Amino acid sequence: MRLSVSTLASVMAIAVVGAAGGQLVAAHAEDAVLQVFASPLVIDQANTVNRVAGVSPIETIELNSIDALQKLCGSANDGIPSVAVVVTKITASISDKCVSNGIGELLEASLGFRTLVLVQKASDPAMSLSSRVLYKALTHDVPDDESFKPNMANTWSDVDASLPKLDIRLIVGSPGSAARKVFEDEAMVGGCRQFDAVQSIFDAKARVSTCTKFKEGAILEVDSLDERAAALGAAAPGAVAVLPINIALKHKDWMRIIPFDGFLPTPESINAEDYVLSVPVYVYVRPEDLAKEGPVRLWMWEMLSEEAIGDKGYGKVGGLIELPAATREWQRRSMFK
Amino acid sequence: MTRLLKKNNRVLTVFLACCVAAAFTPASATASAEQATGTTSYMDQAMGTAGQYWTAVSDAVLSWLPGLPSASVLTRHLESPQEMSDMDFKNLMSLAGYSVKSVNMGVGIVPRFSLYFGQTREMSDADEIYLARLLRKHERSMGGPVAASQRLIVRTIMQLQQFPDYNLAKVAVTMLPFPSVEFVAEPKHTVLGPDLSYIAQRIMDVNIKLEQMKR
Repeated sequence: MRLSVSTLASVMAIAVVGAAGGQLVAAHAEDAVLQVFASPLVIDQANTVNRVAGVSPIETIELNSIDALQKLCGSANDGIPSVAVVVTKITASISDKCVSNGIGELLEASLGFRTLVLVQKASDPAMSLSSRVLYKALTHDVPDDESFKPNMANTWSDVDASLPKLDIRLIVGSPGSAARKVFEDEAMVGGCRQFDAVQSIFDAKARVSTCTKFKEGAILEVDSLDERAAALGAAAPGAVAVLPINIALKHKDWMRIIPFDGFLPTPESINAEDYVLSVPVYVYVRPEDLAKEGPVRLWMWEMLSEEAIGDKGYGKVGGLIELPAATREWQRRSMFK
Repeated sequence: MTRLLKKNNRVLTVFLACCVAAAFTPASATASAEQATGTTSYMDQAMGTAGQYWTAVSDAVLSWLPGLPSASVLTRHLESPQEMSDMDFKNLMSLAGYSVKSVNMGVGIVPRFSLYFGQTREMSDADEIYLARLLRKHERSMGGPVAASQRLIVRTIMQLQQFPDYNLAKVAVTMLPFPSVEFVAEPKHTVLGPDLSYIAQRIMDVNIKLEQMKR
């Protein structure tokens, strides 16, 4: 019964939001009945749920995943029910903090995967890229036995003879964006992890800094997703852009998704964690907030609904790759038993 | 008597399983040692000797307890290095930043065999994400006590590395006489003893005086 009411409310709310031009419901902390701590990479999904969950007013706070979880564990006595939508699983130390603050262990649900893709113009020769190739193509200095030498590669074929003789160019978001971090973690650090010269650097910060220092002129930083897509369209042949999968699919008439490390982003390859330019998305709530009728329960009901995270849900339109149907159903039953 | 013997067999089987489960394929250790020290041949010889020794010990024990296979899994692992995959124990430990630093074996009525892993690299956030993913894949694809104990060790290392004030300096994996794992954490910021504190204070006083003299 509750599902049908919620679903109806969701449909109505989407219609209202659509008519209002998608304005975000925002509130000051003192007015809010619910606080949503969300990682930048998934804040759009959280905002969509905020609009349709039938809870108002909601205060949405953008935080990185660790800070969001710490906030959820640290604010037991401020009186405002809270949820966290994050791209990192809770760590043991944060979980311990939750327990020591009297909150107990947080409840966790998986929402799916947020996926990035590498794309090229469909008119270019088809490429398949690996983390090793991307690192060697884009890095400032390439490993040479146990030392480094300046990167002299200018075309993709300089790095891998099977790739076309086209200029190396990557269009990506600026440092600090969540998408840039995923690309750097998986493609650049993942690529340089395969070289002994890099692995012999003890200090983690120094190692990551070496891995993520780009060759001058190899990358073009564009933050707006639409502008990034346009920049790829205007770029010389050989350019590759990093985009969320939903943007790539929107332009599929002239863009081609490039396999990464041998895998295309399908629900199967992402769920098996073979395609790695994606991050699992989790939602965390305090058990006592979910146990009672109120904003957290309403919000969670919407977030875990098929309308939000199902294979035809609005989450998918926003770039979320869904979990298997059985897992989604099992999670709903576990959360609302 | 037969029942007792069967019970003993079962106990020994569990013991042998635990020995292997205690954590690693020893071939991994060989490969890790190559990375850590470059003394490939010495490590290979040591592992080979350990393998032969284990064969002798296990054959002697098994001759009293029929019904168990005569050549142990452990021996085969010790004597023949294998091809490594992303998800073998050596690679998982390496991603966690640890490589084999030394091997401790002893010959006697009660044999000893331990491997000491030392930290060779700090883990970055990206390494943690990658390793956590590999462990999830490992869990999905590899069952049994060996794989479970390998994951347990690596996950424990990941958790211990989150202590802000301590550094996990050494991991000792013992297979013989009884399987066990030991984690050695050292404070990152060593507190000076009273004597050293006094000396440090005097050095600071001298520095302050020198600064004042400059002015």
